[in-house]
Amino acid sequence: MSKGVPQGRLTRSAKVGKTLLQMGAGEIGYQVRRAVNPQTGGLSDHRQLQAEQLFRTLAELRGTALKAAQFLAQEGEFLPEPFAQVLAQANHQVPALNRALVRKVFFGEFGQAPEACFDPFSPTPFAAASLGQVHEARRQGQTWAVKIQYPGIADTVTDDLLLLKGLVGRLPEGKRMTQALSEVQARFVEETDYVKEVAEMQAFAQVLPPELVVVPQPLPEFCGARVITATKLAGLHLHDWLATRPSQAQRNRMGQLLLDLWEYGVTRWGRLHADPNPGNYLFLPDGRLGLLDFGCIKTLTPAFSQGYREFLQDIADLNAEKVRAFTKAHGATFYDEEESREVHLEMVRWFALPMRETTFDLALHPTYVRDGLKVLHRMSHCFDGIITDFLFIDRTWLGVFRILEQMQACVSLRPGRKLLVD
Amino acid sequence: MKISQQEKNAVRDRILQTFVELVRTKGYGKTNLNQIAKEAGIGISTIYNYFKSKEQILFAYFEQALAQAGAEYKATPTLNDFHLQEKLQLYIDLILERYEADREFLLEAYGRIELTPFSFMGEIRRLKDLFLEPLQGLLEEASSKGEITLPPFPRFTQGLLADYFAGIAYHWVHDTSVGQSKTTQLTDISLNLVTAVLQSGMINKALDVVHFLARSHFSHLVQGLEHWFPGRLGPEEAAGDNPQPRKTKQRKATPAKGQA
Repeated sequence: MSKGVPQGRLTRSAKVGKTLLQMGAGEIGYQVRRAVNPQTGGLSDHRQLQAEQLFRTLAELRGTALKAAQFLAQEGEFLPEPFAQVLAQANHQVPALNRALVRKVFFGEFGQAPEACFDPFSPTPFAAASLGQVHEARRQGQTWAVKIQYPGIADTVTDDLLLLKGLVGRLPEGKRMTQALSEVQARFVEETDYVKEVAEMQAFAQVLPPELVVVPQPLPEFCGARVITATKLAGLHLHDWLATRPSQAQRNRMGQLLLDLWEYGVTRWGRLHADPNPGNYLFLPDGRLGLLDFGCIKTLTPAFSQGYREFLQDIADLNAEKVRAFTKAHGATFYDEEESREVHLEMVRWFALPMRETTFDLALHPTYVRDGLKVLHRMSHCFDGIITDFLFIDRTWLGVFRILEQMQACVSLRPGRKLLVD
Repeated sequence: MKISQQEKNAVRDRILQTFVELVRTKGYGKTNLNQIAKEAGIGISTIYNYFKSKEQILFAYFEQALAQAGAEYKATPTLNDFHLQEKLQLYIDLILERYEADREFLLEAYGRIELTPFSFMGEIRRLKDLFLEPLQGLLEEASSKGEITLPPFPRFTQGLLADYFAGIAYHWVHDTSVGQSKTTQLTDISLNLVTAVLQSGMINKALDVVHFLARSHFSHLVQGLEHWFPGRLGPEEAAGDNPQPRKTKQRKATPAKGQA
């Protein structure tokens, strides 16, 4: 049996406070040692120690703190390396809802037990969802996926992130991480808003062509603040689908759909499915792509969306100055103009790589994602703070290419070769 | 005029509901039997046929909630599929659901009980028994299914469960989170711990330590007694590698009957 989770804001604050003290003491100790002996270990060692202390605290807080850690780890390219490395170890486990809790949520939402709403209702979840779990159920001859949220998770998320902000705010990279955490908090709050998620699901279903991308249909009578019931799509997740050894043509088609979804969301519709977790895609036997989980949708203004379309063309043309002007126009402030110019050009070259080739074969570019992580990480150090629109767009781009890499797909960003855009 | 049991129950319910409402609006201290009778539209003498004091009405409220939750718990269709933790959690949820509409009343009521808990020992013991009634045999059943190691004193452990519930109910009454979701989380996490302790057999192991210490301590005590009061404990207890007493009265060994 593992140790109990520290309960209550006070206990959790105490835990965070203790770590702050340790980290503060570590910082003072480091500065003193450095003053006395300039040869004292590098800054990186010191940060590694800080990161370990932070992680130990996150591990003790568990719950949403770890989920936040996971988010931060995803932003690894924007965080100092030692922090990113340690946070990447965060293995979040959403607390499971047992039958009693599922019953409680159902009574709270619909005034009846799940068995009275569905026949049958599987008591064992078939998948973990963000901050909840998904059960299979049948009703009216149809199989449904019932997503249930852990009770009170929204409050816990807010408390935990408040504590985490207090924790990381004192660190040397605190400003950047606090900004990242604010964005994480906003996404968390969105993720716990199941009413909004159903609305997003319906919006995506209306806009995306069903012959290419399938979006589950919600069952409104059993959707509420903590439950989403939607059609269960019959498809395979990435790993299982790849195990069926799909042909190169099949992999290219699915890969193209994934990339088109990104481009369509950013440059045409202004709504990006910004959680490119492989678990959020289903590969259907009829060659369509199933899209799941609408809890993390980034909305962009029409002006930004239109501008980004031209921005992509500027990237493809390697017009670093125009790219820089667009980035600045949307809030980027560079620490050092000259130094950042060089890194920026490097980033533009990396970003442009798939755009400058007629087809981009991931099998021939096995280090594309890894190179991108490095260059984005360097780039993040040129900015003062984080620009959230770019953060989500870049993160999703990287996430999509991670999947394309696993698929060994060959895709194109050239007009006439796309399935969803044009 | 003789009235039916159904009518009696209806009058009893009316008294309870009026009491809850009055305590909620006026406070426990300012509520008396006369007011209850007046508000309920019955004679004061009728109230005395049911309750002798407002304290009795207070505990009758808890008894009724526990009895109703217990009946609903036993009637849950899928109960047999539930594990120990799920059963306990379900039962606690059912009781708290009964309390749900009367939170303000309960806040007042808990305040009253907190003032002089010892004056209600008898009533509290009765509520404990009522709380435990639907859980009779629960630990034994979980043990036979291999879910837990049966603790040596199941009734004592069940008694602890009743105390645990009292703590959860207290937290719930004071919980201001939306839908009292913090209590839901606390119940979930703490029951996880409770069942894990039962699964691990930790209580048995802890008792083993207590037994060992008690035995060891007791044997030293016996040795000490033999030292100071030689011969009082008989030859068997005195045997062994005891230190020689300062004053030893040699007992004459008498052969047992039939011994040569």
